[in-house]
Parts: sequence; C-alpha cells; structure tokens
Amino acid sequence: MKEIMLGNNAIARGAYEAGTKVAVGYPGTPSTEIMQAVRQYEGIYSEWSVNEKVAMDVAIGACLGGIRTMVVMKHAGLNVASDPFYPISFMGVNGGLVLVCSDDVGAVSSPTEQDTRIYAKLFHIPMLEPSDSQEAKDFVALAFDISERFDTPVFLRTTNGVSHSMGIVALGDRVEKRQPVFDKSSPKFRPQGGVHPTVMHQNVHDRLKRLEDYANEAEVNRIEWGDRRIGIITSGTPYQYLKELLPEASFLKLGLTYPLAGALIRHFADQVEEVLVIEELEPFLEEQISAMGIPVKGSELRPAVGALSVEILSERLKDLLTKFGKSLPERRPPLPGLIIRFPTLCAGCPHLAVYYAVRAVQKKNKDREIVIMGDIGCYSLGIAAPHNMLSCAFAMGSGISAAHGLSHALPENAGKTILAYIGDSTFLHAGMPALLNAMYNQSDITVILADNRTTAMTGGQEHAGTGVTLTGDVHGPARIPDIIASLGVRDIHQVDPYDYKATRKAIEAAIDFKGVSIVMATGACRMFPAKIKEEPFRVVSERCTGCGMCLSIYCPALILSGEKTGKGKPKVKIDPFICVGCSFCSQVCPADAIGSR
Amino acid sequence: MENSTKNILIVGVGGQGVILASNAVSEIAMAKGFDVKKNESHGQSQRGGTVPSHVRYGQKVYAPVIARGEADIVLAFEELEGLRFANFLKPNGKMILNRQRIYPPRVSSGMDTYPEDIPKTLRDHGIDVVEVDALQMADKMGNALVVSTILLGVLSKYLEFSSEEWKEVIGQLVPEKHRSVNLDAFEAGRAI
Repeated sequence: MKEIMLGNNAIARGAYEAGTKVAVGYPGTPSTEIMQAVRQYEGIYSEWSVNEKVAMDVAIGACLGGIRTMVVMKHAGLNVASDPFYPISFMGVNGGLVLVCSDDVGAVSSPTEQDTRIYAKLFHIPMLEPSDSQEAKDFVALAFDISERFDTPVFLRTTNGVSHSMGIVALGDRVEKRQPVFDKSSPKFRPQGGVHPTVMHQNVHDRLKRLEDYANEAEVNRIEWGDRRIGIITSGTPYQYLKELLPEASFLKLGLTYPLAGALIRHFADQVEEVLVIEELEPFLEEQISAMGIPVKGSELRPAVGALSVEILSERLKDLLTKFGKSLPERRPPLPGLIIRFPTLCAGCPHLAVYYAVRAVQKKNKDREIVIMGDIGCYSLGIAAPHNMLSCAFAMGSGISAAHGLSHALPENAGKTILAYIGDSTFLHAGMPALLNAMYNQSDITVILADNRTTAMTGGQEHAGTGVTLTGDVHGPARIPDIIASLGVRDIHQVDPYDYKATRKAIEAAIDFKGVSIVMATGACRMFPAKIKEEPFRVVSERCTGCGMCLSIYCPALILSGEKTGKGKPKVKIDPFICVGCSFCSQVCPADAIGSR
Repeated sequence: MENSTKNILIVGVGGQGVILASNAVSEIAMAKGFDVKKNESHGQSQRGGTVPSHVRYGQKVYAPVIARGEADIVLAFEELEGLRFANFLKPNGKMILNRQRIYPPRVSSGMDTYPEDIPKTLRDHGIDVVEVDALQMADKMGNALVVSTILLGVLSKYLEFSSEEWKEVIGQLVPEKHRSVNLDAFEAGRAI
C-alpha cells in the first residue's frame, strides 16, 4: 500500500508503525502537523503539552516507564526543552525515546533561523536526518531501535524541506516491541543518588564511540559511486538538490549525521579526487570532517543562511556543473509591475481591534510614548508595516519580562509607558512565570492579554485555556482571569475587544495604574477552531466622508470603492465576502456611515 | 537541468482550492506509476498570502521544489500570482491564467496599485497564455466552489492522462454529494 504523504504525516505514520505508545508536543511551524496526524492513530496516547519543556518531561516519564515515546517540537521549542533533555542523555532510556525537531530554515514563520544539529553534539546523542517522506517514516523505527540498542535518546531532525514536502511512502504494519516495566529502585535514573553524574558522563562518551562504530556500518549512511572526480558528502534535502543537479557525481549520503561515520568518510574521501560537503546553515558536517584532516570544500560554495535550493546551488556550483557539461536553464528576472501579497491579520481579527484602540490611546496621550514589547503569535504580524505596533517580539512568553526589564533601564521610564502584548496560548506556555516575576518584583507595566481562545498562528490548536485536548476530550478549561488574580494582580480590566470604547477606556485606566495592570481582551479568533462569519456590514456611500479612519484599522474587508467625495477624497466600501460582521469599523466611523443593513 | 520530470506549478491565494488541484495531479501521477514530489508553504497561507504548490512527477524525482525557469506549466488561479510566477516557466512553457483578481489589502486601501492588463504583460514577455474565466463558468454552473475543478479540466488537456483517469481521481478527492457537479466542472474545463 502506497500513499503520497507530507513528511510530517510520514513521521506520524512511522511512530505508529514503530509501536509508539506515547507522543507529546507543542505546536510550532514546521512541526505542527506531526502531532495532528499522530492523534488519528489507535494505540498512541497523544497530547499537546502546555510548552516544550513540559512535553519533554512528560516524554521522559513515559520513556522511563518502559514504552516507546516520541516528543515533537520546532527549533525554538528545543531551546525551551533543552534543560530536561540534557540529563536524559546522561541517564539513558528505558523504552525508546525519540525527539523530533523541525527547523524552520529560512525563518518562514519564526523570529529566528537556527541549526539544531549542534544540539546532537552538545547532548552527545545520535541524530538521524531524513531526505524525503519515505525516509521520514522509516527513520522513526530506526531511531527507536538505536535508542533501545544504545541506551540513548535519539534526535530525528528535519527541516521545512522534508516536513512540508510530500512524497510517496510505502506503508507497513504496526509492530509493538515494548511492554511497560518500571523498577522504582533502579539507580540508572537517579543522578547523585544511584550513579554519580561524572560516571554517567563517562558512559555517554563510551556510548558515542560505540555509536561511531555503528555509523560506519549503518545502511542509512550509503555511498553511491559515480564519477570519482567529485565526491559529495551531504544529507537531508541538500542531497535531493545535488542528485538533481549532478547525478553523475559520487555521493556519500549521510542519514546518521551524528556521530559521524569516520572510517566510512575516510574510505569515501580516499577514492575521489575532490570532496565537497554541502549542507544547510552551519558547517556542522564540514567542520568535523575537516577536523579529521580531510581537505574539503563546502562553506565557500554555498550561502550560510536560508534554505538551499536547486536554483541557488546551480549558481554556486556553476564551474563544477560546466566541467560536467551541464548547461543551466535561463533564470529570468521577475516580470514588471509585481507587488507583494503580504500575510495579514484576517478580517475581523480581534488583534486588529485591540491594536486600533492602543493607537487611539496613544493619540490622546501625546506626552507619553507607548512602547509595546510583543510576543509570539498572530499578533507578531503587528511588528511589521502597516501596524508597526511592537518594538520587539523574540521568544515565547518573553514580552512581559522584557517590558519589566526595560522599565528598569529607562529612568522614570523616560516619558514612556511600557506595555507587554501576549496571547492566551503563549501566556499559558511561558507567560505565567513572567507575570509572577513582574508581580514579585513590583513592576510598573501594563500587560495586554489578548485571549482569542485558540493557538491561532499555527492553525488553531487547542490549549489548556480552552479545556479541549489534542484528542478532543473536553474538560474544565484553565481560567486565565483566576490565574492572573491568584498571582496577585489587582488592576484587571476584562473587555470585549469589539467594544471599542470599553477597550480604549480600559487601556487608559490600566496605564494610569502604578504597578502591574492587565487588560484582558477576550474575543474569539474568527478563523479557528471554526470560522465565525456573521452578516457583513456595509458602507452607506452617501455618508462616507473619505476620512480614512476605518482604513487605518487595516482590516482586509475595508477597501476603496473607487468613488470620490465632493472634495475628491476616496470613499470606502466593505467586501461582503471577506467581512465577518465584527462591527468594529462601524464604531470607529465618525460619520456613522457603516451599518449592518 | 534536462530530464524527463514534469514540473507543474499551481499558484493562487489561500482558500482558492490550489491544494485540491495539486493533490489531484499528484494522485493521478502516482496512480500511473510515476514518482511524485510536492511542496507548498505552510503556516502563512491562511493569512491571505501567496500559495505556490509545486508538483513534480517522473521516473525518479529528487527535489520537491521547481526551480525558476524549469516549470512546464504554471496554473495560476489568480492574475497577480500568475504574473509573480511567470518567470518560473521554461522558455516554451505554458501559463494557464484564471481571469480572477484578488486584491491584496495594500491595494484595497490605496497603498499599492494592482498591475494592469496582466495577460498582455505576459504575452509581451513571450509567454504562451491560455486564459480562462473559471469563476464566471462556475457561477453559471451555480457553484462558485468548482473553480478549482474547472481549472484542473483545463490543465488536463496538457498532461498525458486520460479523461477517465482524471475523473476517477477527482471522484476520490471530493465528497460524494459534490461529486457530479465537480465532474461536470472538470468536463467544462477540459472542453475549453
């Protein structure tokens, strides 16, 4: 049985076939679809944990219980989860433990671009890198086998190129190899109690040596002999690009990219005239291979940032390709007149309403400059034009603490009013300790907590605040207002963001408060988990004065009608297909020109 | 690079049905025994952004993304997106252009200008354009949602698979209750 599968879905299938019993994760592009596909399989307990560190802890507990466990996240999430991941490398596993981490190479939907391969070295753990959907599936079972054979967590690392590409996958059956066993008195999992950490550290180094021997024999590291004038060492999607460009070359395709197969690499390098090491982002393979004393070329032939492609490599390797008689297709420039279609906040998005209210408050209070430290979510789009609302947004839950820190950097806040802006899922992920810290240390900031009842940016995943789990079980949601109050916040303003006046007043009152104040704006996302579309509003053209106030909401439903006022100002209309009937623009319009009928 | 791989780039705006169309091409190619790779950007597509879906099939396909200058066909669900990806075509490639315009917010609010007469610009640059007004055709059929299947019908004229093979795949991809209108829509597109 064959199926065309997304790389991420193939990983989920691989987890199913390998007999995985527990799978946990937190959403993040480009990894999100893995958990959404895992939940559909029988025999796997799966959950969205509240953050990646928690997911890692849950996974470690399940692994200690003797079953096969997978934990899934994006590159930034691995930074969050790295604390507990380090000791599990020292302790070793009971049931197999596989970490799947997808790097957003090219920063398609991330504030950073990061090469997580370096973690494999830091953690002293083996790393597998698939090149397509079939390998993505197959490598999961292999990862579990290596994990149990070598008593180590295993890192299955992908990039967007694998996670978000589709290819044909041959499906297999589920094989359950492990039964739960837990010896509560085992010294193995008690650093400082059973075994001293330095002894564990030595074990880890010995384990790496055995893994290197294995790497030299592993089928996933394979030589494809071709023309021996050039030997290319590569892995992941770069392998696909190079096979496309120069299939005649000799290839050493590495599936197990840490620890490196030293003997195999030497054997390959000895038999080719020139060795190229082509990889994305950091020179991870190249530095190690160079350190083995093998002369290689690599970094000078490729960009060090962004995703590689056939096109980029064809330019960079032009001399080599010419040597092999290849003619490159003409790469034509873009045609004239092109404009960019920027991603936008959706029509009727509650963030548009809150942002508009903040700008209105700023206009009324010219004596103090409102500064917003942002966070990670759809509202991160507010960091760019036309919104330009956020002064920064860099990591999950970081805005509140950054605002607190900034408030101490500026003397008497230097005429500035410092705000933090955070969404519900992000607040529950890492914002809670930040708020606790701000309270504990008597900060003077205002937090706008925009609760849209979902994890919108990654496609509307449930979270603790909605009370619905990954598998659809419904229970009592975590009550964010109660959490805030229990942390000691006194000045709390709960508003409906679509009530313009109330939101504006709440923000004004909150910034006047000395101490930590919170404006909690609760309005459901209009896209997720289900589309909310009410009767569209419309502009009464005779009344429109062309003032442009409504256009500065930046709602995609508000567009120029093509008509002009007597004074030549462009009038506005509402696209009824896009408008979701939130009513916000009708409250903003000073001419009372927007109505629901 | 010269090889036998067929490169079909399907582009549009989120919500237009680009993915349904590229899924159909992938499925039919796999059913006929070809290797298939497909790629589209995830994450931002639901935010009104551009949606390019790359489909490649052949004896053995390596890269999942089509390089600039190597597409056999660009099927554009929207005019601006057709203009954007026109330079992905091979010199003798073909553009199937749906005559639909979806204004980006910056155009609607007067910050940008939507390019005029895109079919003419394409032809002035030597591109072989097949124009289709699939939205109007879909409206006539009483179902605006079949735009994607109409365009698939047009695309099918330029690929090697038979009408029956296409209909079987479309039948599998759309829900039972929409099956007959989609098959009609496919026929209408193929008849152009």
